[in-house]
Amino acid sequence: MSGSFYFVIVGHHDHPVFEMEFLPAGKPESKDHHHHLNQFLAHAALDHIDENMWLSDNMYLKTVDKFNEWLVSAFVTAEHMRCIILHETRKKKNFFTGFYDLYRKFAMNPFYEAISPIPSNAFDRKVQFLGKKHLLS
Amino acid sequence: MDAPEAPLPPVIYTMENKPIVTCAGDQNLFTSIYPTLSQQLPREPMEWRRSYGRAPKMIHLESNFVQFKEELLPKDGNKALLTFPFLHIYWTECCLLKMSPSFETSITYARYSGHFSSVNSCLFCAKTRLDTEVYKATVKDDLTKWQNVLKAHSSVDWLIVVVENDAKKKNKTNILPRTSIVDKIRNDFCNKQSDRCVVLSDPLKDSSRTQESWNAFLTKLRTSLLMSFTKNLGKFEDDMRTLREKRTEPGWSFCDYFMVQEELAFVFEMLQQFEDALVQYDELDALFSQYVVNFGAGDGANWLTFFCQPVKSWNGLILRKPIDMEKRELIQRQEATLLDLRSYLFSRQCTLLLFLQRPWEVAQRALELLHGCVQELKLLEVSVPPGALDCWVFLSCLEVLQRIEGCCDRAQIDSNIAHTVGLWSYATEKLKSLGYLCGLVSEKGPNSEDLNRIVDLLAGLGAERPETANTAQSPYKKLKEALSSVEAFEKHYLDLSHAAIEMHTSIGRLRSAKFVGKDLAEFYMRKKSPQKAEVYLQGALKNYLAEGWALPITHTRKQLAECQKHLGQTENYLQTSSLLASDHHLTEDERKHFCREILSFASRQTDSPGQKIVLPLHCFAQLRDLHFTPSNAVVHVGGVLSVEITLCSQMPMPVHVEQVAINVHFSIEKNNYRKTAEWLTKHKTSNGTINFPTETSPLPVPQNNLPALELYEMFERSPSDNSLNTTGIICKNVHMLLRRQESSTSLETSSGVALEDGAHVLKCSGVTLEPGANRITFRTQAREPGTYTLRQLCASVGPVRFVLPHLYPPVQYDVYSQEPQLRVEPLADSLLAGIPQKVKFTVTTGHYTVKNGDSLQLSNAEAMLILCHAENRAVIYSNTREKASDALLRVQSSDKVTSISLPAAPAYHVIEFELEVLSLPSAPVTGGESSVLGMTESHGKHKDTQKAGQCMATTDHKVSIDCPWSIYSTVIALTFSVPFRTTHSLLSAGTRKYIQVCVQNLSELDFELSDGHLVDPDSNADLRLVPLNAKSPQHIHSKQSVFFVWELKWTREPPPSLRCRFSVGSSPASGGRLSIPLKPYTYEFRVENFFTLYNVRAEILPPSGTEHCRTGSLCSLEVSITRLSDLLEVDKDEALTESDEYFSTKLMYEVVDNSSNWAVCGKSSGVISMPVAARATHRVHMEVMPLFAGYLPLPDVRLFKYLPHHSAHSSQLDADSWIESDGLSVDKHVDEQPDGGGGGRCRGSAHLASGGEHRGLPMPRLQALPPGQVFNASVGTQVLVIPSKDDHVLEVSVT
Repeated sequence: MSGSFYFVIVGHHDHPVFEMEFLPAGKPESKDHHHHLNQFLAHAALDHIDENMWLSDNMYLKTVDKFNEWLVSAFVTAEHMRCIILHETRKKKNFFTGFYDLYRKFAMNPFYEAISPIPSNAFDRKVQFLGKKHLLS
Repeated sequence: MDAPEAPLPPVIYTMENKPIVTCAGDQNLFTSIYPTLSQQLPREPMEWRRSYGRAPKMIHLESNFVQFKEELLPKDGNKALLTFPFLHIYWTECCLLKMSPSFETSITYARYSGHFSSVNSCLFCAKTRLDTEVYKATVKDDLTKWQNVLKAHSSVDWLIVVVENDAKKKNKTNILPRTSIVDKIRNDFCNKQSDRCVVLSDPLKDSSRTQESWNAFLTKLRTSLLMSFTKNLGKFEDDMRTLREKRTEPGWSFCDYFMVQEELAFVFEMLQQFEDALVQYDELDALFSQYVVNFGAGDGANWLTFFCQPVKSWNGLILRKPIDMEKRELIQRQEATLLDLRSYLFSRQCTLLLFLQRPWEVAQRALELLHGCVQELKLLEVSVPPGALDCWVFLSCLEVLQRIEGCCDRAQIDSNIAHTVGLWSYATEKLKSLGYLCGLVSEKGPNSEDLNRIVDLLAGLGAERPETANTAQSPYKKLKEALSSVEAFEKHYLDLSHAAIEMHTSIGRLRSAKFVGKDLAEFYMRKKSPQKAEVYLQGALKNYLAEGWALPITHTRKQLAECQKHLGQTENYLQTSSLLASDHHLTEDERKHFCREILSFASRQTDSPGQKIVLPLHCFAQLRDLHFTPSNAVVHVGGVLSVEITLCSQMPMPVHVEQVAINVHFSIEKNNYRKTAEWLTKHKTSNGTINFPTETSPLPVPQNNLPALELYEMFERSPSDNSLNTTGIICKNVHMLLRRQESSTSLETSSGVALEDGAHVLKCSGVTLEPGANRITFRTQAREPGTYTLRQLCASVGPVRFVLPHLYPPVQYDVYSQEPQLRVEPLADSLLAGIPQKVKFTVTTGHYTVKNGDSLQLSNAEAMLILCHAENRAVIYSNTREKASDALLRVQSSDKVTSISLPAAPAYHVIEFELEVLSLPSAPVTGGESSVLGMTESHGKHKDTQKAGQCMATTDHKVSIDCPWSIYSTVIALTFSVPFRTTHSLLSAGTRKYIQVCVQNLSELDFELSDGHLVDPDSNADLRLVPLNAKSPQHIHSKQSVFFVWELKWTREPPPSLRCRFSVGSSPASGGRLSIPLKPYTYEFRVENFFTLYNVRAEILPPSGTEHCRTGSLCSLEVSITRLSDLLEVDKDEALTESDEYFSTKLMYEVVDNSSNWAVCGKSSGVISMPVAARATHRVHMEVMPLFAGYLPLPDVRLFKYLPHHSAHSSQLDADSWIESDGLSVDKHVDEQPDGGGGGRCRGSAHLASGGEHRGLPMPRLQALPPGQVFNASVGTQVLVIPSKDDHVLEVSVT
């Protein structure tokens, strides 16, 4: 499992709006039983994010929670969409900054209903690209 | 010399440490001063200016004064700072009474801390009697020796204190020596640094001078100390930095460097600069971490490999001692493992943080450290026995928590749970994994392998440390106990879990609490206590469902399913199973497993009927759409309705369903099907398919989602100047948001679906639902009329019923029963009379079946014929307007009855056929002369539709029809419009009379008229009607008229009235040949008083002597009224008077010029008595004046019958008063009549219904003469009027 990342955007009703896993190149899709753990951890971390986001002026909240080898980093957008990354090492600020750039543009699309699940393939691809650039490299 | 000679071991002081100051010289003197000195020194803070731009600090100085020894001075390369003497003081006294240098007395005045102290340094005291000689003899030597020693060790921080005793001074007469001694010392030792020698006066007295001298001394002492600190620490730091810069060199050792920097930290700590001390450790921490990270990235340092040795001891953090000497020594000896180093480092950081009153930071850093260490061990690929780290983390968590608890009170801890709860849950987690690892969670308890592992783990803990040995709840004891037995483990694990859950809950971290709860549930499941597990699983599941986290939902459900299975909650288990079987997040195999669970339950239970398990359908299959045939979902009684539904099976494998049933609610609403049809057009697609919304989106929608915050800005402005007073944000739906959340409702318990048992059920048996879409068709024969609402959909698998409790949108179908019905309607917009017209017959059979031989009996009216053609065909349509067949229609007409044999047709069909009917112009009715419009008479009701416009007159024909299905006759009214309007008029030329008939075609059709005749039905032989018409036939186009004229000639005195009948044959112009001859169109009217009685002739003559009339000059108007006949029948009225066989009648004439060409001078009207005799003439002369030039028409002369007063009339006019009213008012009251006689306009008034003049007086009456009786001979004549002067002005009036 090491080397992979899990990224999720959580909407206002605490529901996942967008999810993506980044696996290091060459590594096969890991065993299924980790997927739910990702969600479990991200979900439990919401408690911490909800507390921390009011303690900081920054959108990037750094590491908000830890679980065994997992670190949970969070980023809260201006409209309080909570973005969470599960990772093992290093800070993830660059990814979040890149992502926020992308998300802002996407959220301004009048056909996108705010906080609803993001069904866009283009968005998917772009996040995948960001992940490759900032997380996996 | 009692002081130990051996070099002091490198002692470690904690708070007891103070910077060392050595004392040389007179020890007795110093002993006497020491108490005051040690008390006074820290009293006032001193500003410490720092190097490298660090902020200056106020610092309270304390010192450890020790006797000077050469050994104390650091040798080259000794980096020990703690034992470094920062200042050397030489004490000496002047003016002592005796000179008795004694070195026997040694006084110990340093305080030693029990643990560390091996310092028993006795101070070497020298009592010196100072006078010049003594100074020269002994003190100078001593001082020189002292200085030389310092110089040899290049120590420059020294001070010479000369104590001056007042009492002794008094005894002394010579003041000079003292001064000279101080000066001497300064001179001898302090070259250029005279401030190195300080005088302390009367230190033990209480005088202002003493005080002053003390202050000066203390300031000097402090300054010197600080200068020494700055210098020596700066040098130390420089050395340290140099050492750090060498870290890339091969031989560099982190541990060595660690000891150096820690030395600095110690000094800062000694100076109570904890912040600075902490910085040193944090720097070490960061440096080490960076090395580990770099190592992970492949950049390994040699010294690091040492830390990669396998972990053999995991006894956790030790925070109860300020300094863990064991670990420190390990580091110093370079034998520490990574855990040792980290533990030691953290314990120092912890100590400093606690000094700084920051216990919560300890907790936070501890959590980071514990996670970090685990990571680092992984990065360094250190081999760790399984469970060792868990032990270490568990012990460390508890150690940190207990350490914090030890220095905070309960209230502080309670209000800072947020900081500690992480450690609690981490400890819980680790204990859990230890339990799983060591077989303490299994039902049977640990096996031998597990026991071995436990022993190994306990061995790694070592022995309990002495400082906790007496504590009952030490982490060590807890862990040991927890690992000792299954029961103890359970107790500790539950304690921790509950504590963690409680803490999480109390600070609102519900999700984290649920997460711990889920672990707890898993534990309970392992312990075979599903009843305890259920509540946690339900709680967690509810939370995940509410927030829509699909994978946790699936995972929790899977656990819940197992739990419910163990609990024997059949219904809940089956429901959860069905949800899981339809869950796409599970593997195919897992889904099939749960599906089989349902099926096997279903097959097992078939032998015990009666017990039904009702489950919601949506997790089993989803209703996608529904389709009715017929598509409008309306069916007649006995008809067949089929309902086709698409069920999308969510199961991973084919499932055999015994029965799919739709429960139908029946309500009797007769003839309601039209409403339904309307509804269907609105809600159904045109093909009769109803789509049901898919119930579950890919992610479940939050079910108890709170409404979003409704925030509004609020501005409150001052009413006076509109300036902003307050502003804020208001939440308008606080009541919704702060409502108590219902915590008891469970989302997954059985949904309480009630199974309806209705009489009306659509069923379909033995269906196998394949995964995905399945089409199921229900067929039903409609029985009772009414509305059927589809309520529930239920699929039965054994005793399991999957029920969709409500179909939404609502679906209905209607069954109707219809009475047979006959409808007759024209094909065109309206029927025209007189020509054949098509009429459509529609028989809706309804529930009646038309048999062969059934016929419609039309009792036809005389004036309407039903035209029979041989080739009449009837078409039979089905209920859905599909043509079923057609058949020849037999129509038999007898006198009164037309019989139409219907073709055989089944129930709920429609028979349609067309027949031609003809409305005959029936027997004429006399139209009076006053009747302007000629009317065809009608057989039935005569509709009074003679509007002034172009409306056709209509005739209604009622037909009574006997239908085979009813004993009652159906009466049908057909309305025919008469296409023509006929008018007539009488024209006169003197005594010659003409009759003109105008036929106007009002219809849209063109007709051909032929054989126009006008006859006198009374066949009066004396009258002849001579036609003056064009040849027939004549074409009459739509909306056009044709005129016919006859001259009326008579041989004898004509009758006062004449009856005429006009008849003309008409046929459609484009009709081709008609099968039957059409009857001519007739028009009857009466002409009255058509004989001319009076001839009126008017003439205007120019004034005598002139040729033409001139404007403005009077002309004479001659009117002659000539009677043309003798007494006739028509003259016999009230106006007729008889005298001497002569008859006369009274007439009134009136001259009116409506065009205002003429001004009538004098009376314009008058009453004359007219003899009733042929050629009797009355002449009237009047004067008129032309107002314009040109050819002017003559003024009108009107003639009225002047009837005497008649008592029966209430409204009569006084003739005189009327006449005198100058005729002007006449115009207003006289009714204008339509064109009557002779081409001229005829004005008259039968009744002058004037309002103003009526005074109830008897008045004569005026009666207009019928137009035929007066002939105006001068109508149309004109008179030339020339302008009065030659002014060449021509006024032309055009009227």
